Amino acid sequence: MKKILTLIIFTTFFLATPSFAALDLELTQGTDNAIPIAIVPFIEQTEMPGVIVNDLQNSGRFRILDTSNMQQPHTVTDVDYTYWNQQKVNNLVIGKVTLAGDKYNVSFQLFDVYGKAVLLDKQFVIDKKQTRQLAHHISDLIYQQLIGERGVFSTKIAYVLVQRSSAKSAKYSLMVADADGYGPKTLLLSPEPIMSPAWSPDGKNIAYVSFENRRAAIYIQNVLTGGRKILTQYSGINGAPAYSPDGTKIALVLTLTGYPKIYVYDLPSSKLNRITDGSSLDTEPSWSIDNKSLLFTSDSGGSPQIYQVYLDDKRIKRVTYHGSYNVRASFTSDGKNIVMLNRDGGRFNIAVQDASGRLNILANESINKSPSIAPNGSMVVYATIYNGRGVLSEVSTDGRVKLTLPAQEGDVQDPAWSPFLD
Amino acid sequence: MRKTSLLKIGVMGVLALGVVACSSTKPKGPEGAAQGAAGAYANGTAGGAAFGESSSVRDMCAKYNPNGSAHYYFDFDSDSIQGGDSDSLKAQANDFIAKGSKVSIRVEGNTDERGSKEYNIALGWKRAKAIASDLQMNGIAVKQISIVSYGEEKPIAMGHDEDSWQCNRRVDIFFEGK
Repeated sequence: MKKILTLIIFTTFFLATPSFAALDLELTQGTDNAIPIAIVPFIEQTEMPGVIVNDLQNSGRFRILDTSNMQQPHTVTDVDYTYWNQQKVNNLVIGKVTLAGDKYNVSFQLFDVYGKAVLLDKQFVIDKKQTRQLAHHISDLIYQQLIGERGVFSTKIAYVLVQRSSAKSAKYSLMVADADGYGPKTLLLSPEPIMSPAWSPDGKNIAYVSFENRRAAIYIQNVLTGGRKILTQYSGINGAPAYSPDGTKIALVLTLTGYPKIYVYDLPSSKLNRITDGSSLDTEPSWSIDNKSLLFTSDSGGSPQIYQVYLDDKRIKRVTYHGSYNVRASFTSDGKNIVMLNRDGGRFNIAVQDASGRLNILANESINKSPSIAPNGSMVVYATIYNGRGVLSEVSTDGRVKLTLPAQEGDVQDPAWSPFLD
Repeated sequence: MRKTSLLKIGVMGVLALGVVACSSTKPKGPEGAAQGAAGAYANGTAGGAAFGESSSVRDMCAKYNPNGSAHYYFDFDSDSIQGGDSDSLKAQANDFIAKGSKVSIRVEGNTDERGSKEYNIALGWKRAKAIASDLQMNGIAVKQISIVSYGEEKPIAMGHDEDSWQCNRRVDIFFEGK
């Protein structure tokens, strides 16, 4: 049964940036102690404050105050602290956008009203098409200032979109969108499955598994240029690519021994080094932040559990002990906790195991999978089924904030949160 | 913008699910009875082929299967070949051998959608290997067989319940070649 390959690679995606959202972000649960903040419309520009409002609101950490019946300052001298004190507004954002030729001059300030202080005061010159990008950057600055950790509003999420026209025919797309779901770009369109996108730590490349040649192969694709090459295409499994934090290696899974084993591919030397052995199913390698060990899934103990292998001496220790199915583990960015997929009875939980081995459940719908942690360690995006469709959801690592991102068409799966993109 | 949590959705199939995590082989009934080859293998062997009793899973899933391929089903989390399938595999191997050594066989392993995607690739691989090993024991040369695992990526049944899941836990065999 031969299939005609109608594979199209989009390399011109970066020319068109649609401003609609491919994934609709919707907050379903926020924290009780959300910080109240007022964002006055920027003079001469409506889109940017709208993006800032959505960013801060969807983080679940802020409560946006309605300023429509209040004063509308646009410069520092317009701000009457006494007035805003009376409105019970402590955190105030104002801004101004002026046209300068074919560019915008943008200024914004963040005020601590009770302290009568200007916390942030910044000016930018941008191209007209960079307004969303700058708005996300301003959201990052505000978030960092008031929450004390880096925001992820300027990051991206890669994911796979599946559009089935019939039970026997589907289109698979590897997509990259802004973290709020806007500006989706297609990196690959294929009639065969695409899996396991993995960002390089500099955010420039994505490694992934593609079955476009009717067998698994690992590709590396440049996000900006669209150019790509095959990393491995051995017979059997080529799977679960994962870049090391220093960007020099990719851990992956091959069946060269006849069983799925963990390998490390050294990019500068193109050398392949097998890390695990035996007849177990080993998969899903994930790096420690010091580049020296890998978490991985193995059924060597009889059921799938998480293990850790140290690359210097290949010694292995078991990491999970709760329940009979623990897979797909990764360290949070501080290296202290492990996010994983855990099965308990009939449910698949997105769970976090802390250093003491205690397991906390973040999300427990019945078909969850593919957790991916934001680079600030505070949010996890994962795939789930809602109303029979594949959708992405997000949950904060303390379990308090929940969001859904339903796609406007098709099934969305296999999310991968980008690193910080500077 | 704030709604009641959309995440607390019960999937119907979970309620009907009796999860069996062990890997025991379950014979599907008395073996050797010559019944019609319902859905088991449809590649030119019209009539006369006795494959043992057709399993109920095979009957239920027959409607999904394209012509020209053979299908073997597995229990949840298991890579054990069902008891009644050994005879089918032997007959199939004989059929391939009769076609000559130029024949190539593509064995595709699949799983249902539960659990992690890459672990399902490994599980699908293990199922495909079990079928391929059986074909080899019945005389097919190693180099004639290629194995691919699609894990959960190519379901044949689109529901999110056990009726669909059992049809997706399958190995498909395709005959490629002159």
